[in-house]
Amino acid sequence: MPNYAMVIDLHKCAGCGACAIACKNENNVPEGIYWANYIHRTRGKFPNVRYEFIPTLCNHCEEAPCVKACPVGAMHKDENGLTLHDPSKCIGCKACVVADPYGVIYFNEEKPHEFWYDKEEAIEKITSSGQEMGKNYDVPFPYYNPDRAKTYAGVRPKGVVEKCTMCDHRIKEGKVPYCVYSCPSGARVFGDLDDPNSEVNKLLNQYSYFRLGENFGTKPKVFYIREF
Amino acid sequence: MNSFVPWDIRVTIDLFLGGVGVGAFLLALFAAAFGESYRLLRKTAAVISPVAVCMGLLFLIFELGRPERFITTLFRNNPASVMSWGVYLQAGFVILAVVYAVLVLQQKDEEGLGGLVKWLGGLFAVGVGLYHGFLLSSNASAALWNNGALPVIFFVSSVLSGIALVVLVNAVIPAHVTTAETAAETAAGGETGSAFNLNLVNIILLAVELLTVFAWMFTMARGNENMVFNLQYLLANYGTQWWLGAVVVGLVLPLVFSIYGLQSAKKGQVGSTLTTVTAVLILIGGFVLKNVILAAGQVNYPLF
Repeated sequence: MPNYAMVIDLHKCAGCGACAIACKNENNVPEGIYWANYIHRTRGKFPNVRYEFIPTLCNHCEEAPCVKACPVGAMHKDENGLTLHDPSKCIGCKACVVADPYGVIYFNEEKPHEFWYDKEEAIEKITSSGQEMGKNYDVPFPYYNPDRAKTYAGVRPKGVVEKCTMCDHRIKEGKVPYCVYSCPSGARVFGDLDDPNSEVNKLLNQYSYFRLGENFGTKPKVFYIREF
Repeated sequence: MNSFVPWDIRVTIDLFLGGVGVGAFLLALFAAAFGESYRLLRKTAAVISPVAVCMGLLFLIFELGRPERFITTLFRNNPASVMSWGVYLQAGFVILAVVYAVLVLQQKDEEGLGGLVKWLGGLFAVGVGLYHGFLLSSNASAALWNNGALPVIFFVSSVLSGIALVVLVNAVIPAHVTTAETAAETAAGGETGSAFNLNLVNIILLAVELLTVFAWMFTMARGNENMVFNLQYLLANYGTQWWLGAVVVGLVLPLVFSIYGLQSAKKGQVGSTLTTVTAVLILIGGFVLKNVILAAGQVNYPLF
């Protein structure tokens, strides 16, 4: 069985944020929720300044604290080393959100994609409401991606959490996660840690790397190389 | 980075009321050890215990995103999840506490199965009391929680709050007042039993709590950057609540009052003004302490 991981080459990353947008499209991620995200900061004082940009996503940790915390087994590790979530089991206790050091698990406080169910018109009797537009489609909302529903809820309902699945629906079809596919500079590399000839292993043996929050004992599987 | 604080005040209410239930149950067992002179106190404590735990659980259930699925926690479990242990501990404790309350009300708690219910209930009470702290301390990335002092702080606070609520209810419901006189009357009625000084019990618990809180804060202040960050976050955002509410009102004043009351047996009786005022202070302080630790502990130090 493969043990999937991701390597992010910070030297190639231009900080464009295409990964974050692509992820939203692919996974029908609602407003305020970011499966693929980034941390950025500027430090120093002119002229000695430095801008840092680190794309983030679920680390699919080997020792996932969210999986340990989940009381009903909704958050689980699959046979491919991915950390996945089952919304039909989730009770919305948020123990995983509390346990997760990375802030990559989000809770659906409201009905997702609410705009398309909203009756309010932007300008009364002049513009149409979100609901009027939304009802013309047989999908939950116009830009809905039905592929997502192959392995996870197409849209995760109110009251449960949701997170990155490393695009397990694409992986099953032999494709790479959509953020990897969409990265214009090829900064993201996806592969099997257990395969010595995989691209991720080649990069990890060629360069030194760091992972986020290594001191928490989570053994994260998103590796960052070539920090500059 | 997600800055959402997942557990709100409803979780504090559950931890607080659950703690009250644990404390009340342990007080009932303690009072039972002193024989019949505390029959009324034992009754109040035994009734408060399951009521408090159940009320707390109601808040917890409505804090869930999917309250209707709470029952699934009984048949879907995860041995690694502290919350999953809590489900079984609390379910067991509620059942035992209800049975014990019924037995106490029927005055059958010292006979037959009563003894078994009492000791098993005591075991579950300690289990639930410790569970609250372990639920938090099991989170490796929460610097304020992930240490050995936290479960002790929560457990002792629970016991203090439980005793305090029982003492308060005893004081406001006249029929339930256990004073030197009623204790003497019970004794005159041919019942056996001895008396304990509530102030002494409070002093021991408050001293342990103060020491543990001090040890905890000192360790945080001299800890790694996550610990220092989280302690500073707590003091910067909840400083007044912490020092005034949790420490002064909840621990120092009750300790001073209890030491003052220790000199006289009468002031140490359940039902005296001194013990009632002390009880109110302990309840306020206990709630604030748990709420501040819960809220501040959920804020993580930036990852990089």
